[in-house]
Amino acid sequence: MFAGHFGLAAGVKAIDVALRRKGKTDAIAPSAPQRQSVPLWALMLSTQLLDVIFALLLIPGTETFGGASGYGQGWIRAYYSHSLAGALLIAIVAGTLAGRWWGRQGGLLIGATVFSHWLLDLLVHRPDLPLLPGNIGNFPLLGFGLWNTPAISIALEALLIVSGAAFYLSSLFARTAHQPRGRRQALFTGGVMSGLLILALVSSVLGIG
Amino acid sequence: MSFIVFVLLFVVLCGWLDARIDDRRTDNNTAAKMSSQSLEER
Repeated sequence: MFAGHFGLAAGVKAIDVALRRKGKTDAIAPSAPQRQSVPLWALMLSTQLLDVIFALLLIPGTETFGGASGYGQGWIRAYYSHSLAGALLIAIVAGTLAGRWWGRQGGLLIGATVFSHWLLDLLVHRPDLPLLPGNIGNFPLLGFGLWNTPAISIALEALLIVSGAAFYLSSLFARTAHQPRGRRQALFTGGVMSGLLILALVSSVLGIG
Repeated sequence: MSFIVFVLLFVVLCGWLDARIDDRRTDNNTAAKMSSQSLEER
């Protein structure tokens, strides 16, 4: 579940744009100041924040990974970054910080995007996600193990990237509707995003990298 | 390795392309406001 996280973030960007447009239409005072929508880079970083922290914790050896190379063949021992409580804490901190820049809605979207990573991992990972940081209490590890049936997990990822790219592209068309050469720019930006999403899925399925 | 490359591509490249769209919208809105103000002044 690598490309799927990015696909979800692209979809969240479209949701944010739609919510802010609706907010503008519903506003009693149209001149009321509108906060800037959450930038795409922040959503893309948020959706992978748990893995970024995991990568940083690999350096001192606090967390590790192993297993065969290939789609869904690996395992992680990420008892801090990928514990349920740890993921919630990271999501709350990221959401609170984001709320300072992009308002309450932006903070909620960033927090939800960060936590969505854990939920998607829960679906596909074999049981390797602990409840508490450091696996305190030795509770059973979590993971529904969709990776054991690659066809289903690949289909889920494909669904996430196709729907995310479609929502994102439609939001790009809406944002560029009144711009000269806006449609061309929307197609280019959406095309780059879609191409990278497909490339990420293909490289993940082929076990490249 | 591919993780780092893809995170950078999505965050930097896609983020930059998306931000360009907002920049152009702001530029267009500013230009429209300025032209309507100059019309009012006339």
